[in-house]
Parts: sequence; structure tokens; C-alpha cells
Amino acid sequence: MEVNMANSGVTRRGLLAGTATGVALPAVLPATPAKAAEPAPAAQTPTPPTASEQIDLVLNVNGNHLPLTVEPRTSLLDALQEQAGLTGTKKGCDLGSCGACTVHIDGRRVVSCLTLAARCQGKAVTTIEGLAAGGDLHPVQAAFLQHDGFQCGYCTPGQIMSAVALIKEGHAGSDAEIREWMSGNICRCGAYPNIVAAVRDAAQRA
Amino acid sequence: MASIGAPLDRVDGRLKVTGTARYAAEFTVPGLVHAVLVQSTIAAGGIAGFDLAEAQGMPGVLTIITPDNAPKLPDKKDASQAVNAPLLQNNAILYNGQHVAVVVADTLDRALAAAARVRVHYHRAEQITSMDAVLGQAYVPKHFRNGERSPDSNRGDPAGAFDSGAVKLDATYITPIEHHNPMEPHATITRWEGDKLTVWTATQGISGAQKTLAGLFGIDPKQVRVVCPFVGGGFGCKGNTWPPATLAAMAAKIVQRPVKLVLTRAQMFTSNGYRPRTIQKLKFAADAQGKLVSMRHDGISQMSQPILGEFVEPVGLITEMLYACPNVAVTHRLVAVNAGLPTYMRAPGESSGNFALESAIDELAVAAKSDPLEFRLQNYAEQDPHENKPFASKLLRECYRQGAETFGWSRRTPEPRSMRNGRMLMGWGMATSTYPTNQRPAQARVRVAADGMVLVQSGTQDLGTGTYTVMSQVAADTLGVPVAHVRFELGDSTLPPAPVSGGSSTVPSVGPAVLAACQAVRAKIIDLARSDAQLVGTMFRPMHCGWRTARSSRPTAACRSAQCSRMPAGMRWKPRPERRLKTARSAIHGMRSVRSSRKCWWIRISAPSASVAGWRRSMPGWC
Amino acid sequence: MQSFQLMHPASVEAARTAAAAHGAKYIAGGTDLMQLMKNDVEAPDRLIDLEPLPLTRIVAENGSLRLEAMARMSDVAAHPVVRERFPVISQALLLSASPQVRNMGTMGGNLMQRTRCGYFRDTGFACNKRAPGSGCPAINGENRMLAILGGSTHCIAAHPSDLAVALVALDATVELYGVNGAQRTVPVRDFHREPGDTPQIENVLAPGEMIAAIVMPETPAARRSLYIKVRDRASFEFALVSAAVALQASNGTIQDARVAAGGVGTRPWHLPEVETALRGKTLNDQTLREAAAQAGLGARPASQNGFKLTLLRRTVLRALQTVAA
Repeated sequence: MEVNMANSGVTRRGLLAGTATGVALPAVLPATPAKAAEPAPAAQTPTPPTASEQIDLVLNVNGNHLPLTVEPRTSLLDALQEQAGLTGTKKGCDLGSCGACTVHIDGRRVVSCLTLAARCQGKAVTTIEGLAAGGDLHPVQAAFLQHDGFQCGYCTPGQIMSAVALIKEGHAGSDAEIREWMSGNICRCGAYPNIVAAVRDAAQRA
Repeated sequence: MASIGAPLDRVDGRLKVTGTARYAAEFTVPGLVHAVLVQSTIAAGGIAGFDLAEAQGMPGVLTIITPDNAPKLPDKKDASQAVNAPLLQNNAILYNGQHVAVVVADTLDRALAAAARVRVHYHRAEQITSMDAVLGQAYVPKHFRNGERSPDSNRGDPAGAFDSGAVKLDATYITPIEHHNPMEPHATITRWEGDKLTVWTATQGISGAQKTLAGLFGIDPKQVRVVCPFVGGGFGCKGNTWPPATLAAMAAKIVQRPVKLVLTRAQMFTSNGYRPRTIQKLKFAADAQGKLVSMRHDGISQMSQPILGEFVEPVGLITEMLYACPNVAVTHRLVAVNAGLPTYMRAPGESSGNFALESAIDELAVAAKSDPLEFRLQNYAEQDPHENKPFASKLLRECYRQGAETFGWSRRTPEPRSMRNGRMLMGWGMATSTYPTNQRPAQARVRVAADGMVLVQSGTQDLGTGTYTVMSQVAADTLGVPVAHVRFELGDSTLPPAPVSGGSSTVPSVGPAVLAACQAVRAKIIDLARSDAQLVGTMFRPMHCGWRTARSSRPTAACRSAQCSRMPAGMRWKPRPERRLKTARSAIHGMRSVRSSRKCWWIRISAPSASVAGWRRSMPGWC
Repeated sequence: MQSFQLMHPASVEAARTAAAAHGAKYIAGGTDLMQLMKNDVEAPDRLIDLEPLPLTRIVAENGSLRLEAMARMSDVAAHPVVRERFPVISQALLLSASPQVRNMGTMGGNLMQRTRCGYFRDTGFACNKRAPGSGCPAINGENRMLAILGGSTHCIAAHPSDLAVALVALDATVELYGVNGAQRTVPVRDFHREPGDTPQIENVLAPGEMIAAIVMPETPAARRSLYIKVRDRASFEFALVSAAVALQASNGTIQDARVAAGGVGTRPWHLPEVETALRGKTLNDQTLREAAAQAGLGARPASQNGFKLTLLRRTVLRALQTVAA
């Protein structure tokens, strides 16, 4: 049984600053060389879909226009996997408990299985496929590779997306802090020590 | 430098960290539709009827398969699997979570929604969900260890020796149900083309899946292709071929479209087996000096209804062989309840049985007032007491010694509650663990290309176990090439067959096949080189790290294996025009020479005994 | 999950009008609602997306803290004013869920989250909350995680929110927007309802009513406050027992004390008997022990959760000792 009090492992410098203002962040991004014909547009006012039939959307995923036809109930995860062919984001539980489906929306890590695709218009979605610039690995990807932070690899994209955000949030001050702030990602193969080492290493280089 | 034993990033690592490794559900198959399983919510009884009106009327629903309309499958049991889940062949309900229907629709959301609206009417029978209630009905397994041995064993007179023992233990140990829950749920995409079946499925056993599916649908195994390059964890639950694959194939046949079926996380608790609960009674006795005189280990494990097959958690196997005790009896029994099918999970029997065994040894040591480590050393088995054979090797004593030294075992005080660390009471214990090495027949194929790249293939599996990397290392070191020049392919039943990845058997099985294939290829290349017109008549002199060709009649100084890209001392360059070896017509491609900067070429070929020396070309930059 | 219409209203008024329709629900972060819908526990015809609405502010002014309904858990937890002047709220949030879920979950949604009771969330079982009158298998079944306080013969489901426990301790109020511009405020302590014989009714919201904001005054006690959570796992797990405490003392005498508990009640559980045993007393260990011993009066444990009573008292004591130190 665990007795938890906040502050263990949390450092002052690790906390987000500022208040939420309720204004959607602009979604201007550079075009990635691999696929985009044109860069994604700035934030749009979403047209309210009202029917329970199919909705046509254009999402901004990894800096690219992604046209989708979804139902209101389609999760972002299913839209990415089934329609966009972006299978890097994984379905582990479909209920937000395992973190394998972690993506970034407007730079913040979320679980895509509990996110409706239709609510993502005008936001910038980043998946594991969007991390590597050109052919180079993102430093966190490289660290996972170097520290063997995986075995079967199924939780790995979610772990990496979570770790990238964690480092940006400033929550990599200690191993204990890393573990706490990676607690939304499960690894059944048990690569946790190597995952922590990879995150620690990448954070130190960041 | 050898790659085995040196640090190495997994060769498939880049694919995994970039999200480009493809798992079963992620293959693009045109025309795909989705299947969702409906499960029983009662544990015993039968299906009285279905109310499908609402579900069938929902958008996108293609078909709903139930026992009322499911195709009849062959009556004979699939003998290759210990247990087989019901496949909609009748209305009997044998456990909560049994599959009772399959809903197929054009999108996943529609299939899930329709499945939630399938109404099943049941008639209930008395359900038995607790082992404890029916321990008196325990029965003897008929197919223990595939029928290769009896579930029971006995040596000496355990009962008599127990009575005369000075120190006794009579205890019951219970291990719970444990679920595998790999991160990747079971997933299958199945596609029929005529009577040919292609299956992209999460499996630890490609060959087994091929056979099972072929048997179910009455086709030749060669008509079934199983593809599985990456498995997102298995731990035993993906060893058998479970309904996600079989019912998906059934659905695909009915709707005449490729079908994808992925288990929900909740279904991972019911639909692919689990480690069964065990109740283990151990009666041990030792003499006044602390020597074991009697060990009795009776294990009962939970099974579903016997009509579904037989799976035994073999908890007593280690007790038979670990300690030198002349009087040992082990029995395995099953109790049938209305619960889902058990299956292999992470050291089946070894882990659950070892817990009981080592706990009992500890407790007996305490009763004998003996240090637990000393007690084990005193009862150390120099040779296998069950088989009466010497161990091929046994370094357990050294393990004990090193462990005791590293952990400071000598600082341990035996009285409970006698050790502290600040405010915390400290407990300090140890246990022995052992696991058999299993080896099964396996095949591998090696191709060496004209550019020196090596392709190695075997129909084996990688579930995070590192098969890609390990086999690349074996091939690289056998051929004397860098790992980066080896490509290992697995996960396809069109590749040479290999056994299921279970029981830690992949490396001991596939490894030697890769090794042998690489050795054979190397021998062929040497033969090719020897038969080369230019080299006919040349002496191939064995050096300490290999043979070298030399035109001169005197062998030159021994080459230094670590400096492969430099000319060994004393060798003379012999200018000769650029040449090509004949390319073999057989599957093995010959090695073609490459023009070096000095318009010379030389071959160094490793002798079988050399572990380091390589087979190299004189290509600048190659090393 | 079943199909639904998804609406993105441009204004609060438009949202309320749409929500008044039968079968409509608001969706905030979605982290609980999506689970409920995937498990077929809820199947609304229409979802009203609250994200476009200007309800995300965290405002500290005029001696009070205002958390608007769509402010995210992670933003509130990290807000400097919340951390410094209402630490129990920040701590309760940081001890909830996971980083990903905290980036999605909102203030309003957190108050609205429904019980984790396994029977409630599995439509294979009877459940008086999900299907009134069908029975409660938990009372004689698996009930280790369920309530010892505030239950009835119909339902013993525990309320899972940590934030709500902190708000109950601080005696916050919930501002509600109703249809046709109506507004009212309700103390958090009165927002959630005990099951009684209508376990399907969990709060005092009228049809179409939405949570607009949570407000609480800045007090010396709020500044000296703490949340402690006891659970089976070190993170990303609901409470077995939790406690929120706030203390104000001067010259060794307790001026003000606020205590509430989670994991033990069918709603966030205010502990006025503990507060009474603290106010006006000398701040010392004996006072704290005697006060903590008052926690859980009237508790009715079920077959598997009797340990929660002792654990509650110890948790309250530990929280008081820590905040007093």
C-alpha cells in the first residue's frame, strides 16, 4: 500500500508557469520535408458538425493536412490508425489507462483513445511519426535506442511521446520525478529501468 | 571483433522507436472490415436464443455469426493445442466470457456498437466458479506434458520417511490466477483468396497457427500463410491459436472480405488463457542433521470443463530434481470449474511451483534451526536425482556463493524482527530458481549476396525477446562480417519452419540452425574460391586465423586478425587485372572481387575454429 | 460506443439550450465520459462540446480563487497561486490520474466523474445506479474499494474524485448556469448526493444545468493545507482512503480546521466532528489524535472494506500531523 503526498520528486522548476487563457494556440508549423505539400494553416474556427453521420475534417497532424471522414464518435486514435495509416500510435487499452496511445495536441501530451477526432480541428496533433526531423532521430528516440528502453516495442511510441513532453514540462529532475511523471505509461515487458535511464539521459542533453 | 558479448543496439530498435515496426493489426489490407466478439455473461448453462433485430439493423453491419448459423467445423479436436475455446459450434455455455457471437461491420465503431446491442437469452445451470468447492472432484490428467510422462512420480518411500523425520513441514501454498496482458492485445487480419488463407496475427507460434487454421478449415497447411514480424509481447498467451484468429477467419470466409479482429483489453482477461490458480500441498521432513528425508508435493490446478481439453500447471517438476532427497513423491491433479481456459504463462509450473517449493524449504530450514542457505547447500544435488543422470553443468553452488557474498548474507540474523533499517524492519531471504532449456527442431536459410550482404531467414518470432538481433549476431560472427551487413527475417510461414517461441527455446533452437546454415554457406564460398580458375593450383595454407592464398611458394608471415584491412606483413602485392569470380548458379551467390586501389585482391577466409577472424573483401573501408 | 450528435456551441447560452434536450450531455475533457460510453454505461444522443466556450480561466483576485469549469487539472495544479495559497488543491490534483489525463481533465468534469465500482461499469452485472431496481451485487460481492459512509441498501459506490475532497474541506462553492440565463451557487458540500433509494441521482444539477466555476475564499487555513492519498499503487490509482486538511493556528491554539475524506464515502466526505474536536484546542499531538479518532462515526463497512475505518482515522491523523509540523 502506498501513502502518497504530493511534492515527493516534484521540483519547483518543474511546474508549468502561467495561466490558461482559453485561446486556442495558433497551429502554424513548418512544413516537414517528408510529406507535406503545404504547411498547415493557422487556427481555424471549427464548423460545428451536427449530424451523427460522417463528418469531413481536415486535421493538422505532424504539420501536414490530413483529410478525414469520421463519425462524431471516432476517436483520434482510431482515425490515425484506420484512416491515416499512422499506426505508430498504439491501442493498448482504449480506455486511457496504459498510455500507449499518447500523442501531443498543441504540444501537450494526451491519450488519443479518449480524444474525439472531431474535437481536434484547429489543433496541432503530433504523433510518433512526427518526431524525427528528416532522417534523424529525435534525441529521445535516440536515447531509447541507446539505452534499450524497450523490448517488444508496443508501448514505446507512447513512452517516447510522453517522455518528450515530460522533458519539456521540466519534470525530469530526478529518477523519482521521472517515474512519477511517466506513470501514465505502462510497459508490460518491464523495461522501466532502461526507460528511466533513457529519459534521464535525454533530459540531461536537452 | 565478435558481436556476441559486445554491446549492441537492437537491430530492430529504430523501427520501434519511430513507430514503423508493424504489428498484426496494422497491416493495410484493402477492403478490410471489422469483427467484434460477443461474450457470455453467465458461467454455466446454455444459450436459449438471440435477439438480433436491433443489432442487425444498425448501420454498416454485414453479418452476425452465432451458433445458429456458424459453419460447422471439423469435429475432431485440434490435438496440437492443449485447450481449445468453443467456436460457436453449439449453445453450451461453459464459462463467463465464452464467445457466443461475432459481429462484422464496415467500421470498428459500427461493429462495437452493434455488438453491444446483441441480446442473448440464457438458461442457467448450476455454476462452479471456485476450485475450493470441488477439490474432492480432482481428477488425474490424461495428457500431462503431451502424454510424454505420467503426472505423478515417486522414488523411495516418502510416507515412511516422513513419519521418521525429526523436523516436519505440512503446508499449503496457493498461487492465484495471473493474466498475461501484453501491451498488444490479440489481433488478427484474415484474408481468403479462394481456399488460400493469409493471416496477419499476433502469435508466438507461426507454424502452430498455420497448422491449427489449416486443420480447422480443412485445407493443407501450405495453403495458409501466417505473417507476424513483430509481436507486442506474449508471455505465453499468444502461443496457442485463439478465437481472435479462428473466428476472424470464419468471419472472413462468410463475408468474403478481409476481416480484422482485435481483442479489447477486457477480453484479454477471458479470451486468450491465463495462468490457472493452484493449490499445492507440501509435506517435507528432514533428519536431525538437516538432511531432507522426505518430500511430497501435491499440486492441483484449475481447469475449465474437460470437454475443452486439458491444461495442467506442472508445479511439481522442480521438486523432483532440485534437492538430493531419496524419497520424493509428486502428483498433479486438475479441478474443473466454469471458468475460462488456462494456458502457459511465463515459466508455467516452474514459477508457481518454485514459489511453493522454496517457501517450504525456507520454513523447514527454520523448523530445523538451520540457515536457509546452509540448508540448501546441505541438500545440494550433485546429479539429477529424478533422472539419475549427471547434469551437463551445474554452477548453482557458485551462484549461491557469489550471491551470498554480494548481498552480505553473513550479516543476516535469523530471528524474525531482528534486523532494522531506520524505522523499517528488514526481512532477508533467498531462493533458488531453475528453468529447463528446451530445444526443438528448427530451420534457417542463409543467402550471401554479391555485394557481401547476408540475408538470414527463419519462420521464428520476436516478441521483444530480441530474436532479430541475436540471430544477426550469430550469423555475423559465424561469417565474420559486421552485424550491420546481416539482415535477419522472421515472422512468415513461407520461411523455413521454426518452433513456437515458448519455454525459452528460440535461441537454443533457431540459433544452431542459423549457425549451421552460415557455416555451410561459408564452406560453399571457400569451395567457390578454390575452384576459381585463377586460384586453381594455389596452395590454401591454414594460418592461425585462416587460410591465405599466395602465389609464392613460400607462405608469408602469419596475418594478424585484428588488422584485416591492412596488408599483413611480408605479403607481396601481386598486380593482376580486375577479375570476377564465376557467379554460382545455385542459390548461394559467389563472391565477386572488387577492384582495390592497387588492382589486387586477396581472400582471407576464417578457419572454423577461429572465433574472430573474418572473411573479408579488399574493399576500402570494409573492416 | 453508440452514435451521437456532436455540437460545438458558440456560447454558453447556446450550450445550455442544446443540453436541455433529452439525451444530451456535456463533454468537457472526456476522460470519464468516453470510458463510460465505450463500456456502454452511458449512451447519450447528443454531446455538447464545452471546449469552445470561454470557461478556462484561473483567477485569483479579491481574496478568492475562481476556477472556471474548463480549466485543466494540470494547469490548476501548476498555477502559482493555487500552489502557494491552496496547496491542498494542487496536491489533490497532482495525486490524481496521470499526466496525460490531467492535461485533458477539467474542474467541472472532475466533479462529475462517476464511481469506479466494477459492477457499475460492467453492463453484464445488475446495478441500481445504472439500472434502478436491478439490485446491487457489490453489497455481498467485491466491495473492497467501496464506501463505508453514506451508503444505503441500494448502493455503496464510493465517489472517486480527489479534487472534490479538497474542495469540500475548503468549503468551496459551485456556480451553476441553468437554462434561460439562470444562475445559482451551491456549496460543494451539497453538490453531490448520497444514493439513498435513488442511486442514479448523483448531484443536484437540473436538466441542462452546467458547472460554470468553482469559487473559494482565500483563508489562512487554506494556505496551510495538505492532501494525503493512500492507495494500492504509487501512482495513477484511485484512493483507498484519502484526507484533505487545512489548519489555522495562532499562539498554539487552533483557530480554524477543515477536514474531509475520500475513498470512504458515497460522496466526498466532510468530517465536521473532527473539525469540532480541533477548533479552539491546543495544537498538540494529543489534540490531533483525539480529533482523528472522531473520523468515521457511523461508518458501516461491507464485507471487504472494514479496514477503511482504521485506515481513515490513521490517514486523517497523519495528514493533521504533517500539516501541523
